Amino acid sequence: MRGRLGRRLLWTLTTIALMSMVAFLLVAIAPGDPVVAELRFMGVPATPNTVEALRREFDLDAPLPVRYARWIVRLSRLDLGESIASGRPVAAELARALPWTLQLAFVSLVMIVALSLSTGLAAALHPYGRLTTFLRGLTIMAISIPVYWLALAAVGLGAVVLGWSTVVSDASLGGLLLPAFILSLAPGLAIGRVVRQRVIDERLEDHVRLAVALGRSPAQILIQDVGVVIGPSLVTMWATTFGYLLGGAVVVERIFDRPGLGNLALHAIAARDYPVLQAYLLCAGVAFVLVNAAADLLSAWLDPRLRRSRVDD
Amino acid sequence: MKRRTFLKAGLVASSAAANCVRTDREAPKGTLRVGAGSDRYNTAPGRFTLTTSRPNAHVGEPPARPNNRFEARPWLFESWTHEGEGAYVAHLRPGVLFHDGTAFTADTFITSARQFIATRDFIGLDPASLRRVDDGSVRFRSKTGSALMVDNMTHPSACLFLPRDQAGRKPIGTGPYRMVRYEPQRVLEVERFDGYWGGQSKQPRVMYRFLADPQTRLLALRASEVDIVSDVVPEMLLSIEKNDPGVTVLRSRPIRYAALFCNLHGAPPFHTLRDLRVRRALALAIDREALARVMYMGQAVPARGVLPGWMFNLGDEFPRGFGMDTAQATRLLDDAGWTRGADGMRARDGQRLRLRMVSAFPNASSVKPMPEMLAQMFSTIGVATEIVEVEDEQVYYSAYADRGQADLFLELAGNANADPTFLLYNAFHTATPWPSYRFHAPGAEVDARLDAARHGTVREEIVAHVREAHRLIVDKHVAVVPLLSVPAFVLTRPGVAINMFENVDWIDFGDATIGA
Repeated sequence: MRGRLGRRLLWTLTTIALMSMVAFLLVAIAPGDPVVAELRFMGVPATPNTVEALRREFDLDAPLPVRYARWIVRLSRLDLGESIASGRPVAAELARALPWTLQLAFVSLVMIVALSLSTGLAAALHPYGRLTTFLRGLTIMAISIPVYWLALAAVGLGAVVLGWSTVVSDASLGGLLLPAFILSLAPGLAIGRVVRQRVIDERLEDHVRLAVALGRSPAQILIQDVGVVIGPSLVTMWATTFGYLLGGAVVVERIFDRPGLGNLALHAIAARDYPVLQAYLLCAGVAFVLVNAAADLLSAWLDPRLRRSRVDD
Repeated sequence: MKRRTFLKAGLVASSAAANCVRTDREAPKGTLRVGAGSDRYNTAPGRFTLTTSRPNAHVGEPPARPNNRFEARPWLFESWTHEGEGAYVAHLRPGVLFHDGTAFTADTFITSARQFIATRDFIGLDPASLRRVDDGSVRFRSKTGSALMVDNMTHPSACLFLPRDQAGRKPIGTGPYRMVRYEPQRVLEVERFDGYWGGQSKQPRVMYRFLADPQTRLLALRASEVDIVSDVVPEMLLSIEKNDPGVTVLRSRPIRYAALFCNLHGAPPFHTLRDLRVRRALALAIDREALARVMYMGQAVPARGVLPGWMFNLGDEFPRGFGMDTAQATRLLDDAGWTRGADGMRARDGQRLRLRMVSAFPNASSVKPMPEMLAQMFSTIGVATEIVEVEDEQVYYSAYADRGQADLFLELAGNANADPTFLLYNAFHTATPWPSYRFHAPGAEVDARLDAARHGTVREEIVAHVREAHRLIVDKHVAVVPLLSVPAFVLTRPGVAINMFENVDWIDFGDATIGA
């Protein structure tokens, strides 16, 4: 187990190091100039003097490798720099946005788990029934409809027509439910399809048939015989989805006006706010890698076969 | 770790995240709620725009503001005199107080101006020249000798605050409202300042909600979650029906232009429009009435130039612009040697007459479906058009406009500056500080006019030069093909009335009246 942890840690650190390079380069080579963008937004002509001074201020006048090296040095001191567009420290911008994203991601994850388990199990219990057909259609629809449209339609219906919710979501649980539901619908139903198939497949396995022969209740079989086997792979899927959500649900955050990481990234892209974008990409990547690493370890801990191999390690 | 412990840890993490997010307080009763666009305030010294742009929450005020002809009118300056060669004497408005009770005097003006006006390069104030004449008067000088420096001070970024409070959290200005709270990307709340020199505003509190998505702003208005939408983009108008009971569309006089900027200096293959005859033919092939009917809820009007006649007292005589005359357009292209082929499209020396049109600044959505309509109109005179749609302003500039990588550039923009030379100089002078616009500069004749305007000392003389430069740019050189003059829009819920102004930055939403 120690060896597994060590390998995992080494792999995680290498990935993060590579990601830092990609995050820096992707932003640096993208078309657009953050200084000119900022001046244009302010409605003032970008005179050479102003542009030069701002480039110097934001360390944009140095060659790319030098800029990258300086960025890494600053990063090692946990200094993410200053936002060009807002003038505030990037760390403060991230700290302000992160709780909004975490809150939405957690609630969405809970909904995804609930949705995938409920629809997957319901479809598995009646594999050829009307409910299964309905859920299949619903899944295809949820995946096919662009989230932007779905979110707008939900807001229009929920807030303007029915008056059940508000357009501008606040931090209360009520304000969180609709965006979290929109965000969880497609992944929840899609993972539900996987749950259905895995349960159907597992029911035909010898150990399940033996459990049936031994007279164990369906609930016991589902949890102790089927759930234990399919659990680890589901955890990995949920974790991967959660990792994406931590990167910020750009469209949903924008429509529901939640100032989370996705919204922050969108603003930063429009303004070519390099320091914010680079920090965002790095943080989102690190979050994704860490969540996946945690999911791997959790799967290993949940899976009796891996637990056994852990002893062998 | 036991599973129960793991679950507990998850719950603790979730509740911690929930607690970190501040629950948005309900707007107190009597608060006017304004739906603004995304929060682009900057709190950095030298680029400080918190509460000024945009939206302008009227916390700080500038020395001068534009009047309804976009001429500088006295504001914190009660009067000023240009003594020649860029030297000014200004008399400060008496009885003005900052929100903390500090008096607005020559000394506070000088310290504030050094921090908030002298740092704006385009205004050109020499900070070393600021001198106190007496408690209510100051002297200062333009770095470039400009007679238009006070006109440039009408820009919202020239608003003055007490310097010690410019660290960004709570700017203290002299305006009718003082800042109560600011949550980046969420909300800015201001309350009425009882000691305001200009009288009381109607609304005791104004809350600006930053709603980045245009459709969300519109939905928030329909759901009565905001009373006013200040940041209206053209896409929103497509979602509003005429006589919509839930939304009132307020419009100003036409101020913005929709226009095609011609590439006059392009390298092959974007050199076709070096020929004046082709540019003129394109200008004559456009049915502007048809564009006006389709675009912007029919609220725009055919344009003759890029500056409206009412602005700066320019008058409607010049430029004359272009009517639709496809027969003359056809003759011009024939004269230029572009002959029609069997398919009706033109070619010369085996090369087809095909133009690239980049759509658009600020984005392709703001001018839809104008490019397709224009392409159709150009095809009637045998000109093929390749439309490149760009949604990102930075890509528009860096990939196309800055490098002259097209023949035509479709833009929806406008002049919001009281300096009459601002737009024409920056968009059509060969020495423009905006690199993309050097492709549209006609050359010496226009440069001379604009230089004369910039160095003029009497406003009437300056405006006369601008008027002539405008005529040369449009009528003589066809550096730009005017399409439509477009109003500024503000949306309100029914029963809300505001004093509309062409520059939305200067609309005081606190003066709105709310009906039953």
